[in-house]
Amino acid sequence: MQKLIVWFISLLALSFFTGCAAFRHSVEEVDVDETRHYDERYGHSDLRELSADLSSQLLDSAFMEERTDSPVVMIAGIRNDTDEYIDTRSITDRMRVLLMNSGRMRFIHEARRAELLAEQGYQAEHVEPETQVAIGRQLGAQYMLTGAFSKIATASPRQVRVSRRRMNYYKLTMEVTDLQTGEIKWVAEHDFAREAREPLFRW
Amino acid sequence: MTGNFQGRMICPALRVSLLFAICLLASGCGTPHLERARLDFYRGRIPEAAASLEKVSVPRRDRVLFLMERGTIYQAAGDYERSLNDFLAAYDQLRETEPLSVSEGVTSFVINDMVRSFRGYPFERTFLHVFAALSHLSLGAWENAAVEGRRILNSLDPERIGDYPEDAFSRYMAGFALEMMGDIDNARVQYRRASALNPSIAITDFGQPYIGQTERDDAPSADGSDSATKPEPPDPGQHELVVFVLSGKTTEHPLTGTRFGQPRIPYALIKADGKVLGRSYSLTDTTKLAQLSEQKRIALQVAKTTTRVLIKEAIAESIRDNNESLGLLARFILIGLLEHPDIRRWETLPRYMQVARIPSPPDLGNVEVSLMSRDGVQLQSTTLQNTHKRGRVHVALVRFY
Repeated sequence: MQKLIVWFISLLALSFFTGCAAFRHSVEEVDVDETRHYDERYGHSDLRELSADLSSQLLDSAFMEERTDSPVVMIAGIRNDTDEYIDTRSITDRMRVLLMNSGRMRFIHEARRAELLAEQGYQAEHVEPETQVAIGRQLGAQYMLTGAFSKIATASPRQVRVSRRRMNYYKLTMEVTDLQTGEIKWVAEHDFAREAREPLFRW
Repeated sequence: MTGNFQGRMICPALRVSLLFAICLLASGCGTPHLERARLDFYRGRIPEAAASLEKVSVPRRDRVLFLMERGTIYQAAGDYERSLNDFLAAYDQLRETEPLSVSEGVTSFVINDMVRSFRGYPFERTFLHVFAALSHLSLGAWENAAVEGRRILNSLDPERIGDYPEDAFSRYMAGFALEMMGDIDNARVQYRRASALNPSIAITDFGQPYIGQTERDDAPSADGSDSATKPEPPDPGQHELVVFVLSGKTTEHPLTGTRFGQPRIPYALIKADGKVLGRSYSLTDTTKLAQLSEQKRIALQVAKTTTRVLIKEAIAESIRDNNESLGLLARFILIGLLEHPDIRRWETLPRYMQVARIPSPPDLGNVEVSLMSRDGVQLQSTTLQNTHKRGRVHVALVRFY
């Protein structure tokens, strides 16, 4: 018993004097361009990579090469076909930033239609005529940007081992559809897979 | 001499006191707030049940159960966002506790199984996603409901579920969530699997439940609404109303609600502006599900309990070698006080999980859902408050207590 107490006090003193990192709270800035994954699931690095790659594919595509003007596009969203809560809107928001900043594409704000109409209605009733915006002059979209995000998950079978491997394969497919003809004018995909090894035991 | 005698008395006494203190701390106290909330819940005092759990902290090992219970209570109170916060937090916690804990395992061999982090039976882990899907459907969040639908299917993977039973309602929910996102083929697969899991209720490829032609295990209803005729597929333009009806208490005795051993499952009758649209069919009895799950676990449980009691006896005997009285005290604490089974369960689950999928007018109007006994007596009634529409399908959730 005495030995136990001595050991305990020694350990306590050691951790106190060494300033054990396990007991310290620390914060550090992380470069968003740095790829970091703590598990096999979708993360912020994937969002940045997906959106950058697909935007680049779209801008370099034959569909854009053939154009002499900047097409007007509406974003209808990416369908989430996975079993994770993925904010697909973040992906399209980031793609919109990259595509608009290229100066080669224009977008309409379909998500804010209700607010736009509400503001126009308000102006029509309450705002001086010379400062009112004209009603019925919204830009019509020519193309629709949509996508689907899917996932295939696999795991190593139950074995006599101390860890288990899980692998997730993700695929994002994006397409641009002509709103007038219904024709798909461009389609591309970006896929990646990630494997994590998880312990079967924890403390 | 006196000093030596005192030293010999104190050392074992200190050991026993230390042992008692450690055991007490490790086993933890009960969760009175949760018990009170459960009582309020089943008395229909939902706001009180929800309020009593708002700012409660529970030991980490009981956190998953607490979140499941609170999430169900919030859902019953119509606070779907908060219920989802709790269900998703419970899922994250379950993921964290998936690796087996060495410390918990060792401690459980000295104290009892209550020191282990609650993970529930496989059907409870599946219901976590079922109830999350119900909350999403109640918010009209179809895509998120489909995420939970896929999680339901993951949880029913044979690797995860092993020999434990699965239930028809979970399969149905997964299928319905996928159907709402346009994945009709996979929805049909799940409807067929749900149909195969329930001996008395069949489900068409379009998700319409009806009394199957095979074995029937409950009494016919007094109003003759049990239709053994397979419903016609809905017309392309036909609107439908899907009502998920939850009733009863999962903690009821399996023989409750039976007459001469034959189940008499209540059902919901749905009327719009006074006209009967249809009724619900029971896909899952959670009491039976829990009973079957317990039977699977019992062999393992008996072996572990026997081992634990032997270990405790050995500890008590080693203390008794030094001091008879302290040895008896240690035995009393370890076996008398601390040896009890892990009876933690998700108690706010309903007993009967039912589905009604019926043709409806495009505008629902005033829809009344009445819980009927098999004898045709109206037990409870409510008006549909919150429905969401996806295409031609209205969806609603009703809970009776």
